[in-house]
Amino acid sequence: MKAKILLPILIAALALGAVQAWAQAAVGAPAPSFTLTDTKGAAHALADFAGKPVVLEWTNPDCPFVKKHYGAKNMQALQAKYVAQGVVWLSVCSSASGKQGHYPADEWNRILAEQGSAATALLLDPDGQVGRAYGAKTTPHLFVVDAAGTLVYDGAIDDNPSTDSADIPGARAYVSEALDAVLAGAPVPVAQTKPYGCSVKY
Amino acid sequence: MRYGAPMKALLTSWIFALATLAAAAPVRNGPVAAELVAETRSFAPGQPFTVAVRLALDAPWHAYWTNPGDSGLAPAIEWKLPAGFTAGELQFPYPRAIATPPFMTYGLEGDVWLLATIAPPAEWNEERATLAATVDWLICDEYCVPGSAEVELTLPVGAGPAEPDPAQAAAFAAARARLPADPGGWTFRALRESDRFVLAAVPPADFAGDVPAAEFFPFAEDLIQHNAPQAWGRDGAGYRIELVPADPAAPLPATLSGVLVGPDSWHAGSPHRALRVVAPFSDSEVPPRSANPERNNTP
Repeated sequence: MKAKILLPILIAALALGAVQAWAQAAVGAPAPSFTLTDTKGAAHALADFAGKPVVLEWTNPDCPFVKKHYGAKNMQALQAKYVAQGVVWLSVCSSASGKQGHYPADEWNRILAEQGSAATALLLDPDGQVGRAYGAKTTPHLFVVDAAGTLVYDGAIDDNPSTDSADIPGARAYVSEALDAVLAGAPVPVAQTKPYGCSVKY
Repeated sequence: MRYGAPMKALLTSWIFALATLAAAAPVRNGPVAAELVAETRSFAPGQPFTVAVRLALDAPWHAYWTNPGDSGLAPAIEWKLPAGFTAGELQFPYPRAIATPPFMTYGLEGDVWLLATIAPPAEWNEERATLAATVDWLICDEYCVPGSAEVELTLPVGAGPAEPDPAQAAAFAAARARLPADPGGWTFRALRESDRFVLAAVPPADFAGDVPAAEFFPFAEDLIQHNAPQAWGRDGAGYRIELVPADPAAPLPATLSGVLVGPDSWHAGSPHRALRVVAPFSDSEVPPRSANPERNNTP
């Protein structure tokens, strides 16, 4: 009797799990909710930032594409510029334990200081649950959530998929365009692009 | 016999010297040895010839195809050619699907030969020409490393038409066999069938073989879900492969284009395993299989 009841529940749970496993996030739909702990030990839920635009930036400090944007101080400049305008900037690391980019919190704090990161926080997602829910494919891969909680941008930081920081000034900066539009209350000009970078090390 | 023996010996050594000039040493950068290789020992002004950008990758590293899949980046070249010379696009071999769940990438492994046609000017008054290039690549295994090399190659002007280099003939033949070939009698069409793209492939009338499996690699990066299984099977007089669209709501592109990679034997009398596919999308849905058992070869 017990088994009869449990089996459909189990099947439903598995089916739900399969749906939730990869990319629930869709541009134009509410951004998937989450709660993650940052490198200082504080918990952050997406819902905590209701009323403010939020950037989610998947990162891995050892990936050449991430180094391109941090080495040239491009990522830090974007973080500082938009945080100053009321945007919440959350860097997220989904590297699994033992994989490239996975560091304990104190080592992360040293890396963030060395980078001069101006992000609001760096969230640790070692089981990859939030990365999978958003369909985060690469580092970097950026998402913009507007003040109403709607996902309005999913994709690359810019349109030049190289590892050469000399290519940054001439590239079309999709994330800046999306944030400028969100802050002006205008539609995001390009809402979805193919992210480029190293694969997220789930 | 226009020349006497001493003159002949001199000429021979001169030709030998020119032949060694055409060779350039590979440039090693980490797990990659890069070099520029010419198919010919010389060139003739006004007559295009072929060179290869050779990237010899140590195992287990891989570089990427033009569509790298879910992540990665194809090698890029910046030519530095003498005035009047032009270079065609790099021609890539077909890739291998590399699954690292949940991702799928399209990689190039081992001894990678990227071919390019070089067109020299009709007028060239020097004895030789030096082709140089900066090659950039990204290689990945568990993690990724970008790399770069400056490569160059000096070729003499020949007395007549460019002379093939016998030492390179087998390597260039192998490199060409890995390029996608023209369909050679195969016809392709693309359809949308509910939530799938279907590529229908009809072999030439005289095709007697069987194609138990094939893989499709799209040229466009955003057309299909790279990590979704591709279902290949018989369909009337031919075959079909089902692909999962990246965005089912996106408007249909004009064509489903890419390379279809089959077994060794499927392209009769040809060493090619990959066929170039440019399949126009039909407006109509695919009819049920049983309704059209006598489909002929015209799409």
